[in-house]
Amino acid sequence: MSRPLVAVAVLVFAIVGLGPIVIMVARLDPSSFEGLFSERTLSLLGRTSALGLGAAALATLIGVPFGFLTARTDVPGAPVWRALGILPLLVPPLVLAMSWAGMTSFRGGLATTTLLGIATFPLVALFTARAAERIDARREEAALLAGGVWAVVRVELPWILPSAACAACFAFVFAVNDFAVPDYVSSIGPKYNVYADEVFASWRSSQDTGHAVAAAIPLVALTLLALLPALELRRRQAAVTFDGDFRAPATLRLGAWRWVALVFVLAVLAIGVFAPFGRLVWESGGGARGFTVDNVQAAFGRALELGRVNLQSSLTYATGAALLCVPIAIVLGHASARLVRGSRLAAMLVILPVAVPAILFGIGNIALWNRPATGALYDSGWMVVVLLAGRFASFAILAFAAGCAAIDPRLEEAARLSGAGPARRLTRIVAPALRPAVIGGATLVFVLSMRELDAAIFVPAANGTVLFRLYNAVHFGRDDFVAALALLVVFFVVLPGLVWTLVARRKLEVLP
Amino acid sequence: MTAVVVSGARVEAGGRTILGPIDVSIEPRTWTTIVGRSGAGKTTFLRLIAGLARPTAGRVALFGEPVSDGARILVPPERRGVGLVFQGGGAGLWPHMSVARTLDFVLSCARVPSHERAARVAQLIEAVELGPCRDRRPGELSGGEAQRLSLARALANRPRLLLLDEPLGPLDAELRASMVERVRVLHREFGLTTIQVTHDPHEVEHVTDRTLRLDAGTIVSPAG
Repeated sequence: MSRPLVAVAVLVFAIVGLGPIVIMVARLDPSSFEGLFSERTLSLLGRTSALGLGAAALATLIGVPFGFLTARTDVPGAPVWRALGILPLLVPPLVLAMSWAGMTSFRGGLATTTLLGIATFPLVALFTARAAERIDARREEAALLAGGVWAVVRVELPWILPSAACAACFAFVFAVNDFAVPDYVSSIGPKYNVYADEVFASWRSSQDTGHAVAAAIPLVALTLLALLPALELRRRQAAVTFDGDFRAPATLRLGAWRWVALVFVLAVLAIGVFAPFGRLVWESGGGARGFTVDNVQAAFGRALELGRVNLQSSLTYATGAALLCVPIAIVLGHASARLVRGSRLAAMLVILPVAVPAILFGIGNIALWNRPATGALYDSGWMVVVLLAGRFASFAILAFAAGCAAIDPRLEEAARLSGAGPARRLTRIVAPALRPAVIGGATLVFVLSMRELDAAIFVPAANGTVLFRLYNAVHFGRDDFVAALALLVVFFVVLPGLVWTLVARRKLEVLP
Repeated sequence: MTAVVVSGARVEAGGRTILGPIDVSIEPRTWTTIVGRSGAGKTTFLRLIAGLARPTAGRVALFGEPVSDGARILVPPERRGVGLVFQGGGAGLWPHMSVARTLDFVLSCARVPSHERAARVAQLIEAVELGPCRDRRPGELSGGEAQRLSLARALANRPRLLLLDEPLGPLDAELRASMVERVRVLHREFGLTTIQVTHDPHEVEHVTDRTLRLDAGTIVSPAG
């Protein structure tokens, strides 16, 4: 690997990703820890842990069978259901919460846990599907000969479950760090405080960043507790399969059971996709006041008219962040995948920006950039790009590192023997061979940036994003406008994936 | 000048010796066959010579030039003039490059001018009889075709030393025989020094000048 390239990438990542955290930690002093372990704090921490565990359990319960059935079996329409199953992950959880709130009387902790479980089940399904697809056909055929489909399931479960467990850890992290859903659920029913609220409240009440950092430490610890096993599982699962010798497994035939499987898959989609999206469409058309197509048109017209600038801002910032992350991800992803020593430490540093609560990351950006020398950047749209890239570059780096770990090292060795230097090997052999991982990582950054609210809310330029507008509109109760704007957001979030599907023949790869 | 001199070389991984100490000399333009059981260190021996496995002790010299001394790599793999055909059917072939692009890429790494490359690619493709497959990617090649592409790639930059790591493993008997014959012709034509690892010494006994047996990381017979 070219050392100057790695040095530049490390420097950029250290500034945009780790800088806001370092500057916050530097503001800690002994007084910051006063009241940290009060009864209230511990109770909130327990509640947040329960929320995370509940959401992760629900995501696993739904995600494992959904992922396996849609990826590997002959369930009628499996490819379509599989693609639709990703939607809950792409939709801002706030939008899911809004749509479900109108359909059920569930409120409080149960509603929050269920919503976040539904929002994160696609993660488990994706990881499961990916693991199931990477099982060599010969291994599976041997099991099939030995004892049919059930023997296949028994042989493959130990291979698939670590991947699913890894995804469940990520689901836990998403759930415990989410601020918008508990905040929204609390606004329409009994108050349901979680730890992320506490961090925000701690900062808002005193503007004392040291206290906010101290308040966030238990949440960071909780997040790291979940992320460390996730990364370890991910590392173990990275197998060398990107080679001419790998034989993709055939579709498993379920016989009459495929109809039962179809019912399960459709039930999951009904809960996660059809019902919430149907509700949004219904609300955009007038909802309880009387649904008409004219109302739908009018609502979308209004949403486009009022939200156009916000949509443009969000798209610009998210695209900028994704593009900025690509070179960083290629260089650091490759370097971390090929590290012989210190790979665990490198992985820890890479995930740190997502391990800290979004709110803390946002405040850290204020502390880092809101100063005379960088005032122009801080007040501009570039600040949002820098914040989003810093926050989400980890995902792109991990996606590319996972791709690199799965690529046969002999591909690079052969190029090296041919005389190709480090930069040439990276740009001509590794990156093109992992093009779906590069674009997949960039798409992931784009999607997460489009739905980001919790960290960006602190930066002035981010007040013009569409999620910020949606967040405000939700609290003013403009149902048809909100529903239409939410559907537009979803459309633009899924747009890159749609474009890729239309122009490329290969799947996006963002998973180990 | 001796083609390969390995003196007291050792390779360790995870605190365990996987190769060595090895002492061997190989004369130029000869064909040496390395045999031994799985795990004997045959592949590591080739990787040591190629510079892909880092030694922990000993010396390696290629054509009179020291390439490693102790744990120090003096000449990186890409400057050793070595071609390597990896173990397995299409192993190490670049999945996103067609046959022609693979060879063109290798030549471009050696800074062969672009106007010469097309002719060289055509020659190589002809030498390994991959004409009808020139625009196919490795995933679209049969086992024999993939192996021939591996061979063409290894020979593209006119190496002095050709390393073959069980190149015939996945092929059927007929293809093995034709592949051995093809490599034999190229070995003579290019004046190569060839070192081949195999499980089955009989398949190359008519072309081999010398056979070395590796066991538990050391050469047991005949001594180098």
